[in-house]
Amino acid sequence: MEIYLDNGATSHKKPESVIRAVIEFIKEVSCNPGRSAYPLAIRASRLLMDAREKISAFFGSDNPMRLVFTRNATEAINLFLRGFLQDGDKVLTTSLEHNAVLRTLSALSEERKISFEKVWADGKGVLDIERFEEALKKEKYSLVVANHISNVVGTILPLEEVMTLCADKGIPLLVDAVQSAGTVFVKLPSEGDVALAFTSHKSLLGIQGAGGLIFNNDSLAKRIRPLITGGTGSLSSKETQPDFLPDKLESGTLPMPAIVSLAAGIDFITSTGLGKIENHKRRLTRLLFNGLASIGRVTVYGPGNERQISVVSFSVKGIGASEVGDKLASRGVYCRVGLHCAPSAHRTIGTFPDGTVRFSLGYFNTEEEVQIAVDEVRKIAAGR
Amino acid sequence: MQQEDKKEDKKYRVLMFPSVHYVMRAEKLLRDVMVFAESITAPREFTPDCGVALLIRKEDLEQALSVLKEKGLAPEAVHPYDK
Repeated sequence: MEIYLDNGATSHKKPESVIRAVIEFIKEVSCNPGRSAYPLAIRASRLLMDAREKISAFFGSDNPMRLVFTRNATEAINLFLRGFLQDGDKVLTTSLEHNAVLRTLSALSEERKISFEKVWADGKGVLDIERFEEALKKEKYSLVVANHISNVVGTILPLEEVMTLCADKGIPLLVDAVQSAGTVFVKLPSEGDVALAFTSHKSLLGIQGAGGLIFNNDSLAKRIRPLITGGTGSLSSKETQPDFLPDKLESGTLPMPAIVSLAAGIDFITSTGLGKIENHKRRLTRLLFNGLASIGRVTVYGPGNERQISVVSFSVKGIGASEVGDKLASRGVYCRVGLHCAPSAHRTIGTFPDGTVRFSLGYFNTEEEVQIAVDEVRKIAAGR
Repeated sequence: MQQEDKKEDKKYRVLMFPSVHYVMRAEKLLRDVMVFAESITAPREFTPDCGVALLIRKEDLEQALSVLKEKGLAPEAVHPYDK
C-alpha cells in the first residue's frame, strides 16, 4: 500500500491525459519552438502558443503575451522581485511566505538596499485583511508580496480583498499562487497591478520543469527587467535583448514537455470542474483535520475551517517529526516533515525550530486513504 | 508604375511580426475566422533575423489586418511575395 500525501511538494498521480501529452510531444515533436519553420518546429510553436493561451484564460487573462514561462515558480518569483525592485524600495510581505520569497528579499536587502516588513498571521496561520490595512497605513510600500495558500498550514489569504486594497493604494502586488492554482479559483483582477507566480507540477497536475508569471496589464509587465538574457529566436541580428514580451523575459530553450503537460493538466481541471476539485479537497481536509484532532497526543495546526484547504500540519507529543515521518513511510504513508522551506510560517504557528509533519492532499486522494493515514498516526501516537 | 505592376502580380503577402509568438497568435486568429494563413520561414530579403513570418493571400489582406488590429496584433511590415 502506498498513500501519497505530499502533493504540496509535487502532485504524484497525474491524469492519463497529461502523461499522454508528454509522451506524444517527446515521441512525435521533440523540437524547439520559435527557432525554425520546418513542420515539426511550427507544430512545437503552435503547441507553445496553445499552452500560453490556455493558461492565460485559466487565470482570467485574454492576452497570452503577458504570460512568461520559467522553469519553476522559484525562478518566476526571482524574475519578478529581481526585475521589479530598485534600490531603496520597501516591500510588505507576510509571515507565511515560502523561502522563494523571503530568501530573495533577504538577498536583495543586501544587494540593493531594499527593505521588507512582514504582516504576521495569527497563531493558527490566519491572516485577515484588517492586518494588511493597518500595515499599509504605516509605510509607503513599493510592492506587496503575498502567499495565497500557505504550504505549511494550508490557510487561505483573502486574496480578492488584498487585490482591492493594493489597487486602491496604487501598490503593485505579487501573488504566490503555487499552492492555490488548481485548488481554488485564482483570477487576475482588472484593476491594479498584479502578477501571479505559478508552477506546473503541483495542483495544476503537470510535470516538473515549468512555471511562470502572468501579469494583469502591460505596464507592470514592461517594468520587469530580465533575470536571464540570451537567445530568444527573435531579432537574432541584434546583440541586445528584445524589449517586447514575452521574448524579453524568456531566453533560452523552453521546457516544452513540462509546458505541454501544464496545458493538459489545465484541460483536465477545466473538464473535471475546478469547483468539484475544490469541494473534494475541502471534504478531505475536514476529514483529515478532524481525524487527527481526535487523537489525544496529536496537535493539529490551522483553523480547521473553510480558511484551510489541502494542507494539514501536525505534531505528535514526545515523538519528533522526523521519526513520525519515518514510521509513516514504513507503513506506506508518504509525507514531508520539517520546516518545508518556510521557517517564518513555522514561527507564526509556534513550531519553529522543530517543524511539523505535513500531510498535503491532492485531487486523487480518497477518503479511504485519509482514514488509513489518520489510523496510522493514531497507532504511532499510541506507541505502536 | 512598373513597380506597382510587379507588386500586384504577386499573389501573396508576408506579414512580419516581432517574434514567433506573435506569428502563432496571428495565425490562429486568422484561421479562426477562416482566413488562409501559413507560417513560413521569414524570407531573408525582408529581414536579417531568423524566425517565422505569416503568409496570407493578397485578396485577404484587408480582412486580415482588420482582425489583427482589433486584437492589438498589427504586423510590423507587410511585403508582396510569391512562393
